[in-house]
Amino acid sequence: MIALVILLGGAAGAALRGRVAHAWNGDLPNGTLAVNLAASFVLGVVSQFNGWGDTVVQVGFLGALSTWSALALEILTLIRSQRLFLAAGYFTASVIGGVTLAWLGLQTTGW
Amino acid sequence: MHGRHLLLIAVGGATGTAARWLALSVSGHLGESAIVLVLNVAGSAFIGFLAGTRFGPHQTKNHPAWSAVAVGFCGGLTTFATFSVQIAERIENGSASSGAGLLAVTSALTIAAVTLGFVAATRLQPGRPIR
Repeated sequence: MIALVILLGGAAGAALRGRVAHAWNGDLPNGTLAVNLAASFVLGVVSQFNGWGDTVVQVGFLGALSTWSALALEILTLIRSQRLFLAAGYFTASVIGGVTLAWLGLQTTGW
Repeated sequence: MHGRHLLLIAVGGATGTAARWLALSVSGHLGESAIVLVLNVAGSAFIGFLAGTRFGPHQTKNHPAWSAVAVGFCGGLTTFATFSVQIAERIENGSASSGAGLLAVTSALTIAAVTLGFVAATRLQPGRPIR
């Protein structure tokens, strides 16, 4: 049962990422940045709960909503097109933003 | 985006997520951080390789294989949210240096992996124009 729900969560997370990336990614991968930052914050919040429902959300939906592979490829693409400042800015916004939002999510304990 | 591409992304995403879940559930003493690192590096190498083939990303219309394997499978196999939370938890627990180390290692290895994957694909297909 849990496997099936994780599969559905993964499918939904990936599909939502595909839609947002398609709509928002342009010169800069704003869509990828948005899903990675949003998923980091929400995972920070829900990682404090333990139950099978939370595993489904954490591993399934949020895991598939966020991505390292697209981030890495987008950084490589920016570097290959000589846009080094954009590559550095995109990388920094992703990792510093992601960790900060995840940390803020963790601070919601006891709300 | 066409419905067919969205369906391919969903199926690929479910498959990648299942692989990640299986890897995490058998992680044992290796630990979740190490497993997530390996998956993120593997997914980055794979998407880099695919980007260097004729199935690579296209400005107007992506190949169905790109939607299923790159956007779906690699996206589902890798995770950014778990990486962020693992580092935030280390900071929260007073081991910020360990968090900074994980951040540096993950960033360096994923970007190296995507580059190596891309270069390998272009080397294996001599004469193919590099986009």
